Amino acid sequence: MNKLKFWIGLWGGKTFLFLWKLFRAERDDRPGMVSVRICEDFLQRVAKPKLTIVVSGTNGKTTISNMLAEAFRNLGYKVAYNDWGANHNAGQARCLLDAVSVFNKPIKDVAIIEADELISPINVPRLKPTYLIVNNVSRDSMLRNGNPEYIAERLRRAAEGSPQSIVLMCGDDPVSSLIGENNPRVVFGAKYLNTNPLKTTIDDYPICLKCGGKIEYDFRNYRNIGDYKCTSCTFKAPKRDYLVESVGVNEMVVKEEKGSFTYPIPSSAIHNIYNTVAIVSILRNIGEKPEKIAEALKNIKPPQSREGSEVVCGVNIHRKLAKTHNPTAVSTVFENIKKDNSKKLLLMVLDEIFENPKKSETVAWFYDTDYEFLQDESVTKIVLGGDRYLDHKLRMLLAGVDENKIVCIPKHIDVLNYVDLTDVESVYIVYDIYTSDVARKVTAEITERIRKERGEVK
Amino acid sequence: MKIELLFPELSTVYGDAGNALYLKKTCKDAQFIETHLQDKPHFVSGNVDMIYIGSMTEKSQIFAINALKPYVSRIKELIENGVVFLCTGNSMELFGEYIAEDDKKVEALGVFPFNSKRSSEYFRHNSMFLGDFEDIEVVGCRSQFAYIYSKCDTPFMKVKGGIGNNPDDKFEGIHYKNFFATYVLGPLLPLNPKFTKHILSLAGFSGEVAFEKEAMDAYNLRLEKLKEEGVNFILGEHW
Repeated sequence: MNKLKFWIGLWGGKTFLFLWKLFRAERDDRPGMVSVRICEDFLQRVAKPKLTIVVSGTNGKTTISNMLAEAFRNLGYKVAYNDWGANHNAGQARCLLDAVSVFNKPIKDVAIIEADELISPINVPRLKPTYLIVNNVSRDSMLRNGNPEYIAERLRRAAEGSPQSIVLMCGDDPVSSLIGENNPRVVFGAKYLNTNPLKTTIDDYPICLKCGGKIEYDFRNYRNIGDYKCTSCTFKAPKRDYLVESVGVNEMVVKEEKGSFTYPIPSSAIHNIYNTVAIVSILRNIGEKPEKIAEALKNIKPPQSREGSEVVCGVNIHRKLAKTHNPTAVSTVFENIKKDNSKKLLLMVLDEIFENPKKSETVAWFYDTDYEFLQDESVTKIVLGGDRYLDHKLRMLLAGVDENKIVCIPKHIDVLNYVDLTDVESVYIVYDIYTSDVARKVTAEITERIRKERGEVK
Repeated sequence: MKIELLFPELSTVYGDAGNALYLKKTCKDAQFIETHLQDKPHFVSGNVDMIYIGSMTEKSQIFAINALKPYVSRIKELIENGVVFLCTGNSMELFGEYIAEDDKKVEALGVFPFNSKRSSEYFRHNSMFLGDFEDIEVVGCRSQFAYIYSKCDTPFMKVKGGIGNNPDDKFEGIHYKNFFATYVLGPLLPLNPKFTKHILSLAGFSGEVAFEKEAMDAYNLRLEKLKEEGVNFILGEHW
C-alpha cells in the first residue's frame, strides 16, 4: 500500500510540476505538497542524486544554497535546487521531484536542499544526505526557535539519525561544534580577520555546554564566532580542515592539508566569508581542484540582498533589514551603524504588522538586543515608528541614548514628519521583512527631500 | 542596599537581562554583586536584600541546580528571614522538587513542594500574560518548555489573561513571604513599574523607578491593549 502511495505521490507531484512549469509558475512548493500529502514518507522513498546536500543552521542557509548551486552548475553538474528558500517538507519534496525521473531514477548529479532547523530531526534522517552543512547556530526568534541550545539539540538529533552523513560545520561556532560528534565531519573556520567586533551586552556563549566551565576566546570574528576553549575541561574549537588565513578586497586564502589556495569572494562581509569557505570546503572535499573552484566562484554573488545603499547629493542612504524578534540580526545592524562614524539619522520601522497586533506583543527580545550601540555622538536623531513605540523608547533610554535624540511614534509612515536632514551625512532606514513596503516609501521620500534640500532637481 | 544577581551569564536567552538592567538603573546607590556559576554565592556568608535569577536554557538549569544545591538550607533561611527573591521564567523550576522529562527526573533544590514536567520533544508554549498580584496588574510574556502540575498553595498571581502554572491552572507562580517566582519571562520589571516599586520597597528601596513616566506610559498602553475585546493571549504551542 505504501509503495502504491509513493508512486501515486511521485506521479501526482510530477504532473503538477509539469503543469506549473507550463504556466511558468515553477517556483512554487505545491507540486511537492501534493507528493507529501499523498505519501507521508515521500522524502524517504524518493531516490536521491549521488550527491545530496542538506543545508541547515540559523543564518546563511539560503545564501550558501544559492551560491553552492551556482558553483556546481559552473562546474558542469546538473543541479536540483529550489532557489526561493523552501525549507520545509513540501519545498524539499519539490526539489527532489526535479531530481528524479518518473521511474524514480536520479536525473541530476546533485540535490541541494535547505532544511529548517526545527524539522531537521525528522527530515534529515529521511533524506540521509551525503553532506549536512551547519553554518552556525545562533539566537533567533524566541517564539519560534526557543534558544540556540534547543536548536543545536535538534540538529544534533538530525545528524544522529543519519550517521553516515558527513557533517560540514563551522568550527568557530561553539554551539555548532556539538553537532555530529559521531558522524564523519569536515570542519571549516577562519583566523582572526581584523573584524574588531564591538562588545555585546549579551554573551552568546558564556559557559561550556559540556561542563559549565568558563569559556575563553583567543579572538572573535563576530559575536560568539572565533577561537574558544573551556577553562575547566578539554572542550575547545576543533581542528579546522579548511581555514581562512587572510581576506583581501576580492579574494581569500584558505589553508588546508594540501596547501593554501586563493578563492574569489562575493563580498568581504564577515558572514559571507564564512558562507564562502563552507562552499569551498564541500567542493574540495568531493575532490574538485582549487583552480576549478576559484573559476566556478568567479562572478557569483549572494542572493539579491534586501539591503541597499546609494549616495544622493553626498548623503549616504542605507536600507538595512533587521529581522525583529531576532536579537542577533538587529544587534548586528546596530553594530554596523555604530561603526560608521558619519553624522547619521536613523529611521526605524521595526515592528511586525499582523492582522492580530497582539502577535507581535512580545518585546522580550529588545533586552537581548544591543540598543546600547545607538548611544553614539554621531547619531543626530532616532525616529522610530511602530506599535511598540513606547517600549522601544524605554529600551533606548535604558541603553543610555540621549532623550533629546529620540522620537517614537505609533505609525511607521509618520517617521517622515520628524526628519531633520541638517548636517546629516548618512541616513539609515532600518526595517523588518513585514515593513519593507513602508521602508521603500520612506526611502523614496527621503531621497526626494535630500535632492530638494541639497539643490539637485530630479 | 545589596542586590545579588545569580548567574547573570546564564540569564541571557529570553530578555531577562532587562530586569538586572532596570534594577541597576533604578537603584543607583545599591551594591550589585554578580555571582557566576563558578563563584560561591555571596548570600552564603553575607547579607543581601534581594536576589534575582532569570530564565536559562534547560542544560543551564542543571548547572545552576548543582551550583546551588550545597546552599539549600541557607536559601530556606533567607526566605524565612524575608529576603526578597525574584525568579523569572524557568528559573522558578529550580526551586521545586524535581524537573521531569518523560521518565527521567532531575532533582531540583526542593525549596518548595512542586515539580515541573516537560516532554523530550520539547513542545513550547508561547503566550501573553495578564494577572493580578494584590492590587497590581502584572503584564508580560511567556515562552516555555515545561509546566508546573503540582498544586501550589501560595501562588503569585491570579490569571486574567493567558495561562497559569499549567494550561488548566488559574493561578500563576509562587509567592511566599518575599519570595516571588513566575513563568513570566524577559523584562518583567521594566514592563511593570508598579510591581517593580512594590518589590523594591520590600527590599528597602523608596523612590521612583528608572524612567518612571516612560515606563508607566508603556505599561498603561500594554494594559489597555491586553484588555481589548477578543485579545488572543496564546501565541502558539509548537516544537
